[in-house]
Amino acid sequence: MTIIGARLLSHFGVNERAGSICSLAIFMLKRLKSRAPIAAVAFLIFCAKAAPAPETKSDLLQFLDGSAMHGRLKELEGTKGLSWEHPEAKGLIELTAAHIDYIRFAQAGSVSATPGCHFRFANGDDLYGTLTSLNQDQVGLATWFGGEVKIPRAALQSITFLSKAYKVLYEGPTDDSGWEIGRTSPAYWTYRDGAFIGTGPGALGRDVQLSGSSSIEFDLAWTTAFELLVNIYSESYEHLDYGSHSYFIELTPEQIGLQRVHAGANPSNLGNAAMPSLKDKSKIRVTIFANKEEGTVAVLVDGVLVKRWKDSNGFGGAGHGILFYVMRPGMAIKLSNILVSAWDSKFEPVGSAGVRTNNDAVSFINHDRAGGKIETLQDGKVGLVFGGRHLNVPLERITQIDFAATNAAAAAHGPGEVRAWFPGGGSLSFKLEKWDDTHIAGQSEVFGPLAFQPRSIRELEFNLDRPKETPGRVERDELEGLDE
Amino acid sequence: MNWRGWMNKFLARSGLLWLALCLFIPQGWAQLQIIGNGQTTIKMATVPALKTAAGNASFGTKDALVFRNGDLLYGQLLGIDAEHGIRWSHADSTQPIEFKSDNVVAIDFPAQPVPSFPADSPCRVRFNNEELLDGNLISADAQTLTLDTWQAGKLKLQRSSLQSITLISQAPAVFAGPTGKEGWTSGKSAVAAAADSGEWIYRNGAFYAAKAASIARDLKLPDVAEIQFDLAWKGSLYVAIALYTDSLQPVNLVSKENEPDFGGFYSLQINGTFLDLKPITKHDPLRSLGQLIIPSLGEKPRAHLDLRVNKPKGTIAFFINDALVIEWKDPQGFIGQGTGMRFVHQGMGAAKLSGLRITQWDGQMPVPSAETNIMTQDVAWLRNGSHSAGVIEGIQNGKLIIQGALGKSEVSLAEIRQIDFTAPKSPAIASGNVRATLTQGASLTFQLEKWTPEGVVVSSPNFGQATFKPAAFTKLQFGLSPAERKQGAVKSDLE
Repeated sequence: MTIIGARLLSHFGVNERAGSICSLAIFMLKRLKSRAPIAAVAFLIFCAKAAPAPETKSDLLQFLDGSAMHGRLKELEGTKGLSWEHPEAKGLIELTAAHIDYIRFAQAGSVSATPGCHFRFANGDDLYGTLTSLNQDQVGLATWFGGEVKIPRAALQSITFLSKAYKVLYEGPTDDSGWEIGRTSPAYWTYRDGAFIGTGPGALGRDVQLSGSSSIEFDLAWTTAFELLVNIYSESYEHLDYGSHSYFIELTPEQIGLQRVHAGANPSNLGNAAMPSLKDKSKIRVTIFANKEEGTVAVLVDGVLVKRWKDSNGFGGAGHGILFYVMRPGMAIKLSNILVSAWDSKFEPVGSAGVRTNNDAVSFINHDRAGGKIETLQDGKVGLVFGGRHLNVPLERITQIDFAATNAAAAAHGPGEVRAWFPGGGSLSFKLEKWDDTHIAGQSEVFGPLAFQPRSIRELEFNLDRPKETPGRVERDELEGLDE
Repeated sequence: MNWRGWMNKFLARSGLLWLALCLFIPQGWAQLQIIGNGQTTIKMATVPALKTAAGNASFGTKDALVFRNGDLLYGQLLGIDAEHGIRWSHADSTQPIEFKSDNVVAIDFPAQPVPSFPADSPCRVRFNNEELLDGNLISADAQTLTLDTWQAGKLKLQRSSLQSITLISQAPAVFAGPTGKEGWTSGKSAVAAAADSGEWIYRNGAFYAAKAASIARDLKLPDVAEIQFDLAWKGSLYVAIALYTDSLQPVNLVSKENEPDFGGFYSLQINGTFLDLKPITKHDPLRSLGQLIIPSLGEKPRAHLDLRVNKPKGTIAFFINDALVIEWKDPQGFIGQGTGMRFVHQGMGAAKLSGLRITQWDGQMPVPSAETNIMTQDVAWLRNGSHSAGVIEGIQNGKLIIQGALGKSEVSLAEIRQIDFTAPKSPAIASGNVRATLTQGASLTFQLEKWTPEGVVVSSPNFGQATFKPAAFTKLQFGLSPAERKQGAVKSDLE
């Protein structure tokens, strides 16, 4: 089904503007590795039971088997386990962490930082910080949590250099404030536990203050299938508006399509691309790069570029908002980890190279990419060896460095190791030693001793190497309600 | 025959044959008119609500505790009482967890094997509040009826609380199931995209499909057969059921001439509230024996379906929730050339098929109650199609004693299909704080006094205090509102 013909002509006013949520400057591809597809279970259960959201914001403890409970983490110590406060339990619940998928914290705050780089690690972690040095063995970086450290170069997979104009426009959802939900009866969008659930043909939108080039990213999970329309640079937030200037991106399990919408004219179909295989998947991360200066829209799935379209008529987005629209009834989807950011057109993100090679690679701001050997960082220039020639390239000309593959990628996570996901982006795995109301202590193989404030972690993932997707569990939710 | 055998016949009646009728029929059929050709008799336009709740609430091997806010915990129920609330064992917790029951909405239990329970007069009792209970009918007098159950032993039911009793035929079944996927053949939808194709999965006595899928089996359908099954669905119900087919693979009706050879069969198509029966042969044009709209299929997401096929007469009668909907007659004679069935999920919504039961049918169509005009008296409906009306004085030694206009008579319970009691003498009863679904699909509302691994103590105006075996239950629902209590089992059907 295409979006053509779904034209709706009603108009609504502009709504409240979204504020910039996070002070930690971050950049795209926050979660290239799709975590825990079984997280979809919670929302599917929710769909089936139409359970009301918890009255107050509370943490969420999700088990590997798909079960979950709200409450509050009181204490967690090493491998001993954790104490959980549940509103309906008569006392604290003492649990081992053996079957916990993750804990999502409702009161996570933001972290102030102005990183220049996004570091991706071979073990799946990613962090925002500043590159301070680089040689054949080590990389120096400054992080918001640990000052300047030197880490083995082999631990790094890539470094993306962030635009100076980079700005987070929206990160969430943490609630439904600022969002417009289409006036259907019943309402087809519901907020719960950091996600919006869409169950039928209806719109969900908000003003995110888009103006120049931008990234729009989100996790998309589904039950049986999905047909989702993403309207970027939209001027309306609670209905599809074919009377303005914007782009429609249609996502289905088979393909991704792009349309340009012009006021007073029929939408222009800019073409389709095949959706990467979704076999055995129930969740993907979708990233959209809109480059206003170059008139392009690119779509990445799980960090890998699917297609970059160029609009021969120049960039056609005039609105400031984003809008999601479920195209068909009976298709429950979940949107979470939405991140909208603005950047300088020259610094369009590259995305993952997909398959790593034995050579380093450098991506330039003119979209060229070259393979060779990266040697040093000195005086703001990167020393490269390409085809036997030594070059010193100013950092301003480089958008991304991909390091040659190493064995570090295959390293398994140790027992008791968790991965923290930070507000505003980034994740770090470490051995958790203690968590209480005031501080978190841990040990990282890469960074050494760690200390955080509890509010600096949005989500804590456990059992990193255990399988988290069991079809039976998903089926339980798809079929929940068929049994009496 | 033991208890399980006859109960499976009656309850688990889910014979689902979803034909790979690959005609995708879009939504919007509400405008269709009923098409009655000369050979089709439409006996009834509306269908009463399904009143049986079948199936098992729990999918895994663990109990599931569900809270009002959507929280869900797997584990094991250790006990319920006033002092401790709900005591729960969780695999990751070293100590039992005690929960207040205020915001617990349900506990699901995995299905337990039903023990052997010999019965001379197996039956299903329906109370005035639409609740159901299965057992062996022992005796009755003017005030009470004694029912022996495997779950709670002998119960004395108040006759004033009874609406009807259905006696279950002990005739052997040609097929009763499903009990697994063994013997069944999965097929791929001929029209669904690969990403939208799936398979029926088996779990706890039922097949489930959430994507386009086909499953088929040679069920050795008799020439004169009764085919019963239960369907439940989420979203839309789009299924096709092949009857008397010799092919275990779905057939794309749009291009059937190009399909591998297959013998004639009938395709029963249910698309939302739209119903159609098509005789299908490889080379003849498609034709319909009659289409109709079944509004009740849009009202509740479950139904009990019953097909009564008379091959020599070329007729197929279709019942939904025990009410005759239509009787089709093929003017060209019966074209079904096989003895198998195929159930094809058409890719929309999720569906559950259970309780498939196939029996030899005696060819007798039931007499609709509307034709009897005797609703002011107790009525015993006999298996031969006749009935006896009057005042039921009692049941003793396997015989029903009824005082009719022509005097007192005795009828063997074996000859009786159903007993309807006169209009309810008591209103639907607000009978408790917990609604329970029993292992075989029956349901009760009662006051839960105590749950221990040894027994579940409950009380109900319908049967007083009783102690049930914990294995009797597949689901407990808590926190019923006053309105929900009054509605009794009807509410559970709507969920």
